[in-house]
Amino acid sequence: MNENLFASFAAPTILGLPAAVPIILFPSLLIPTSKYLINNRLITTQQWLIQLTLKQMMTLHNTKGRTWSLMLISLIIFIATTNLLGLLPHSFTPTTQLSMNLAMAIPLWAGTVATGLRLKTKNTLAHLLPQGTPTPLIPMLIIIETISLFIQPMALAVRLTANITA
Amino acid sequence: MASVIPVKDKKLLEVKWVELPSWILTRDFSPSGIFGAFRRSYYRYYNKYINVKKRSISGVTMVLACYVLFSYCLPYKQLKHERLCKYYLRGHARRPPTPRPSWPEPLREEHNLDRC
Repeated sequence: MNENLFASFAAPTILGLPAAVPIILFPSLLIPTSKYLINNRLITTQQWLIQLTLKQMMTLHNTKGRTWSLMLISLIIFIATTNLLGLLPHSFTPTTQLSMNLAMAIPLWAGTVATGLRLKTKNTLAHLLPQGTPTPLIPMLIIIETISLFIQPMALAVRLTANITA
Repeated sequence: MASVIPVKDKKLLEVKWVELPSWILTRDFSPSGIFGAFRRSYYRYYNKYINVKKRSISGVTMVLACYVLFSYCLPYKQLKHERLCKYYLRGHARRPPTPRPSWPEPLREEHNLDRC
C-alpha cells in the first residue's frame, strides 16, 4: 500500500533531476514523419486517424477558423498519446499534473477570448446575456456569465486532471 | 598488405576490449554529437523494424516494453517496499526492528487492586 494515495502520481526523478521532460517528449518518437506520399503502415494508419479527426472538427469552420487546425490537432494527438501511454504499467502520465493541464488550458482559453473580443467585440459581449432573460435578472446574469467565463480554464484543467488521475 | 583501420573509425562491435577506453575518448560528446548519436540510433531502429514491407507489431512492442522497464526503474526505491514478502512487520519500511533482550525479564510486583 502506498504511503498516501497520490504517491504514484509524484513527478519522476533521475538522480534528483526531473525526468518529466524526456517522458513528455517520448510520444514524439512514436509518431514518425515522412516526405513520401505512400508510406509504411504505421505512418499511413496515423495519417488516416488524423484526417478522420480533422474532418470531424474542421468542416464546420470557415477558412479563417481552419487556421486553428494545426494547433488543435497537435493538442489532440499529444493528449491522446500521453493518456494512452499512461495505461501501461508503472508509466507516468504527464496529464495527471494540474500544472501541465493549466499550462495548456489558460493560453488556449485566453487566446480564444482575446481573439473574439478583438475581432467581434459586440457578439462576444452579447454572449454574456442569454436570449429571453427577464429584465430584473439581467445584472445578476451578466455577473454569473462573467464568472463562468473566467472559471472555464480551471474547469478544463481540473476535468482532465481528475479524469486521468481516476 | 592488410590496411589498419584507425580506432576512431571502427564500429563498437569491432573494437577490442583493450582499445575500448581510447575508442570512448574519440567519441564526440558535444551537444550536437549527442543529438546526432540519438538521431542515428533512432533511424537505425526505425529502418530495421518499422520502415519495412512486412512490418509486424514487434517493432512498436519492443519500444513500449523498454518504456515500461524504464518507468519501473525510476521509482524503484519506493516500489522496493511494496514487494510481496512472507512476513510483514508493521512499519518495516520506516524503522529498523528494535533489538529484543535474549534473557527473560524479571517478574514485576503485581499491583494490589484492593488498595484504592
